[in-house]
Amino acid sequence: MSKQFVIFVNDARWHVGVVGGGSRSHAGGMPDESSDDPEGVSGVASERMFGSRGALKAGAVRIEAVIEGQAATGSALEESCVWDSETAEGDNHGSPTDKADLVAQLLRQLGYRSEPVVLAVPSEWCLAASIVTDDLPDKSRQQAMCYRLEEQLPVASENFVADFIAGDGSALGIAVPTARLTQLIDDLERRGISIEVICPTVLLAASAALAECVDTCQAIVMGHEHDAQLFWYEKGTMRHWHVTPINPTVIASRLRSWAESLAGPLTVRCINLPDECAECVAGGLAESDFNCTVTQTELPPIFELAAVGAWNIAYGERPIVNLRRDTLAVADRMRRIRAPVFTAFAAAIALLLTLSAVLFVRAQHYQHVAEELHSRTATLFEELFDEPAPNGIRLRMESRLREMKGLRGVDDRSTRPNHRPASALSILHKCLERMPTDLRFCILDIRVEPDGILLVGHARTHSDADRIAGSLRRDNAFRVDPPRTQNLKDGGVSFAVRCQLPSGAAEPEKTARLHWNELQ
Amino acid sequence: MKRSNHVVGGLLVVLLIASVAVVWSRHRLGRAYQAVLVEAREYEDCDRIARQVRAIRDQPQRAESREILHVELTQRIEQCASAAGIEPARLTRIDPLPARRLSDGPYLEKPTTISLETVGLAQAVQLLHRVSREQTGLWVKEMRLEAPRGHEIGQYWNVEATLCYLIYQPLSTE
Repeated sequence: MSKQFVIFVNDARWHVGVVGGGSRSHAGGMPDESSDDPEGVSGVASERMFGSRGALKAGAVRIEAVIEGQAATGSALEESCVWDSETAEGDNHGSPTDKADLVAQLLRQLGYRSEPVVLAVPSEWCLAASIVTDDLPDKSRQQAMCYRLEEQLPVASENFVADFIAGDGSALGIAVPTARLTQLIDDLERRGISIEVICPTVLLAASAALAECVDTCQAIVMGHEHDAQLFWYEKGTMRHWHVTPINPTVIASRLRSWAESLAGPLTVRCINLPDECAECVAGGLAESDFNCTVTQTELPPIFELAAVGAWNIAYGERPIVNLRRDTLAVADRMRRIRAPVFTAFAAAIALLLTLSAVLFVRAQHYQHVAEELHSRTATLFEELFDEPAPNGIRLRMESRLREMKGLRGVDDRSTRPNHRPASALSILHKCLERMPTDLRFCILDIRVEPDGILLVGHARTHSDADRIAGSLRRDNAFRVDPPRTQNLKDGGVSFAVRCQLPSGAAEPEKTARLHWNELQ
Repeated sequence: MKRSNHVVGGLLVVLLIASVAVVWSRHRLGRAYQAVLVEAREYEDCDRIARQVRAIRDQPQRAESREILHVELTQRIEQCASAAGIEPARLTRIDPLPARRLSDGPYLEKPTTISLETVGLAQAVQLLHRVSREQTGLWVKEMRLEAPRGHEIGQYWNVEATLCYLIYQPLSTE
């Protein structure tokens, strides 16, 4: 949290306070000595306000007047008012709606970005009374306390919102009429101002400035403009709050009435009260035989104190009372994160749309590449086979290749046409060229088969038949069985010679052609 | 409040639509990318096949893609016989036999038997040689030469030859 904004509302005059811009030391710690701004608030305001309790960095508290057109230049102001006083002044800016407009503009100028804002209401709008809470049930206790408070207030419980400062068997109820704030909160919220806490100004100031002394005194009298704010503490808890004109007699009378049940000595601390008034109060109490001690302290104006109280709330300190509840409760808890959520939504949508567009364009590119590759494949087919490319080009090309391999005998499979037997012409030629030329014989029958040849004929003698067979064995061209011979009646012998090709001797057809050409 | 809720609702709807658009675009991108991979692989395979085709397309054909028409084969045999000086009357028979598959392989062997009577050896060999030369893939598988009775031995022969060619016809399971 870098800044805490406070809106001080009043019947006539609104103020905007901004606190922070630096860091906050832990309560009870020493003032921030690291600050290099000797004129800053840390050196002046906070030490005066807290002593050694806490510290703010430079530029910590800044109060801007909204309606009256002049800055409430308290002692902690860093610079003069930046607000256009001419704009702020005028007859048309008196309504709460106009004030809300001006407040919203001023907050924006002061760097407001939807941070939670404390709305400080004047004491005159508030009603306070102590109630007994011993006999109240735990269930719906808040409602019961409201009803009990209603008994002491001139307003029906339906028409006010109350918060309580719980004590030992009793509670101090602080209420504000709902009608006072409903329109005002609505105006501010509609202008994007997130009201998180509603608290009386003096209680904010008290929570910031009086936290230490409540343990050492029972009564505090705080002067503010023409009024005196009277607080009564028991065991460190606020028990009574009363607003009265600065009149020592009245103040002393009120303090006496609260101190009737007090057993020990009475310690009263007067803050920003005129010296003569404080003395009169001390004199009035002394007349009543009270063992009384009255001290006088000067602190910064109440707006600055309240701003620091609001700043403490921003850092997690629980507000002493918070009237932003019940009928004045925040209607929409998500209002502060709505804008960031909208922004996140818009960013996510933009991101998704951009991503979608990128993916789409990329897909288009891939599709184009795929079409280009398909076109090249089709062109390849058309150039190769001189016909239009079909569907399933690769399958068709594989089929064509397989067929071409089969037709040309280069099929990868085991059965090849190369295994076909040698041509009968080739076998015949091989046989005839090995026939002996110096013998007389005749061939009557030649049977050429894929694996060999059978010759049947007549020779003059058996040995001639053997010579024929031997001649055929030349060069191991054939495996020739011994010839079968038989004498003929009219002389000579018949023979039959079977020649077999050696295994695997498939002769290419080309050889037969060559030999035939030679024979020609 | 209500307006804000409407705005949030509208933004949620737009966000949902944008999310759907992203999912759709991502899906489309994935499909397009897969298509590129498939087409690239397809082109690579086709290019490899094309190189193989170019490498073997000039090699001689060793088999027919279909059965040669009997009329076509008969005409070719008659032409070759005529060219070899064989009278048509000597070409006594042309007998096409049914094709049979070789060892369950992709090839069918189609035999055709021709018979010649009282022709010279040179004529017969010339005829067979011409036929096998003009018809690619055709070869003489078997041959029988028999000396006819009543003629001078060695001058004329009765010839019976079996011409074969291969048909490339893979089984359907291949």
